[in-house]
Amino acid sequence: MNISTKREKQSFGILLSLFFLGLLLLHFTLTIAYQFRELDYTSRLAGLSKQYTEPLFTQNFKIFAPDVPDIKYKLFVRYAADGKNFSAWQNVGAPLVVKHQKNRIASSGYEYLIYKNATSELLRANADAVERSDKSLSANLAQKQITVLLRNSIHFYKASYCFSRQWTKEFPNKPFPKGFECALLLEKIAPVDNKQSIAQANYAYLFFPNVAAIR
Amino acid sequence: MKNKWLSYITQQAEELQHPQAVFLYRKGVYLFTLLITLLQLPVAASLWGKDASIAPAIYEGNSILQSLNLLSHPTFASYYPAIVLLLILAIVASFFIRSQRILAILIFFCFSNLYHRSIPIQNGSSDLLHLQLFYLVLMDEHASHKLGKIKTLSVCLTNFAFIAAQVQLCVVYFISSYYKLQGTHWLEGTALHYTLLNDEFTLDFVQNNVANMELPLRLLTWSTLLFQILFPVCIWIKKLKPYLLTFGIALHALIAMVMGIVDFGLLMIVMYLLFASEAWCLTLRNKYFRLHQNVISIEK
Repeated sequence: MNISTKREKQSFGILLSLFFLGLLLLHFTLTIAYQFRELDYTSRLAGLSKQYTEPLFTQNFKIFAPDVPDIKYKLFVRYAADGKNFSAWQNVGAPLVVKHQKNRIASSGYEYLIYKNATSELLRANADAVERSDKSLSANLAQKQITVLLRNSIHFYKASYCFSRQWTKEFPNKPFPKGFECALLLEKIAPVDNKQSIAQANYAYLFFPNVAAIR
Repeated sequence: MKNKWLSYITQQAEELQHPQAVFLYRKGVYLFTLLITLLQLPVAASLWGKDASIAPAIYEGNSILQSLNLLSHPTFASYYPAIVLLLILAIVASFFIRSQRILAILIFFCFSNLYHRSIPIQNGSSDLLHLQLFYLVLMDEHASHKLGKIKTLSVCLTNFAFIAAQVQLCVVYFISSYYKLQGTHWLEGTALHYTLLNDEFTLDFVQNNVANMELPLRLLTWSTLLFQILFPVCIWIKKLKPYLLTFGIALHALIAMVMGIVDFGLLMIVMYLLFASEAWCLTLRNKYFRLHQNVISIEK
């Protein structure tokens, strides 16, 4: 290889390296900005970073941050084929959690995630409905309004989608019941310096009536 | 300083910096992908099928991105077994075929389709795996056997993709520790107490015997936080690297076994291969080759 070819090859290499280095810097600037976009959703960088990152480089590394969950969520469902005579409440996640505790590398963990996703959607639906409800209404009217807002929420739709599909999987020959309700039990975990037992911890319920079949 | 930078930049285009690590890293990530795909098989229909339990997310616009989310379209949804089978076959083939680029594209395509179909239940580890499979498409451990400008291009791409994969791991710790510092549980040292009392992230024995041990749990919480803060900076210091990696492996093994987040724990340990020395990787690679030869001779 003569000297000029060698130099040409070297400068091609340097240019290429600088190009890839630039790409690398741009990529990480945008993906890191994406993860900090909640600090300022309206900024131009936040918009640009979202456009660049989703869906090819989607990432969320806020693992157990800023705080770990200090509330346990338990999802209960009950149903009535005729819309009147309801079954007993069933804790749908509990058997899957026990299975996952017994065998860490089993598919029950993923099955549990499906219900966990439905739980998250119900919580989001509830938070949205409470946020959008008219605060000046009386408690009774406000509750009615929240129920209507819930029924129209995209998050409630996603949770209902999950329940109706899981129903079809479990009972392929039975139509989705006329009455299907779910409830979330929110159990606050006792703080470390609190001498009160777990059984005495704080509880709250969220009730979600009228889950409809989604086709 | 200027010369040092110029020499660094030139080196990235002239020779592969981590051929052994790229080789092992690829095998590690693919094995991990195979493992989690097999784990999801019993619930495959609920995750990816036509009647999956997760509402599909449709991406408007860019057709390339839409091709990575085919299973969310009703027309393609019933073909999910083909995507799963293709993924498994491509991973198995990657252990026997030398040319990796096409297989890497195929593996990324299949995994991406499964990932996007079930994106609402994906956690940080699937996001990270998706990114790593993308970086692996750009890497070629045999780039130095190519000729001319193609070789320069391939070597350069491999080196920078490898740096990207390393930086990505640092970004995970950086983002995670930054947000943890914004909360109270991690600074107070109570994060592990709450986590181990949550049925979802604990074991019976741990919940009853360990979750209320105040001092050890506070120390473990703070050391986890300190580790995550230090990792992105200290991993580049040669003397500190072995200590960080040892602590990290122990931490992620605990996360996998006790908290049950097996996918995240295992992937992070696999990703530590990115920081292994070339000599160590070569020893491991030679062992792999001996095993590979034995498998092939048994098959013959």
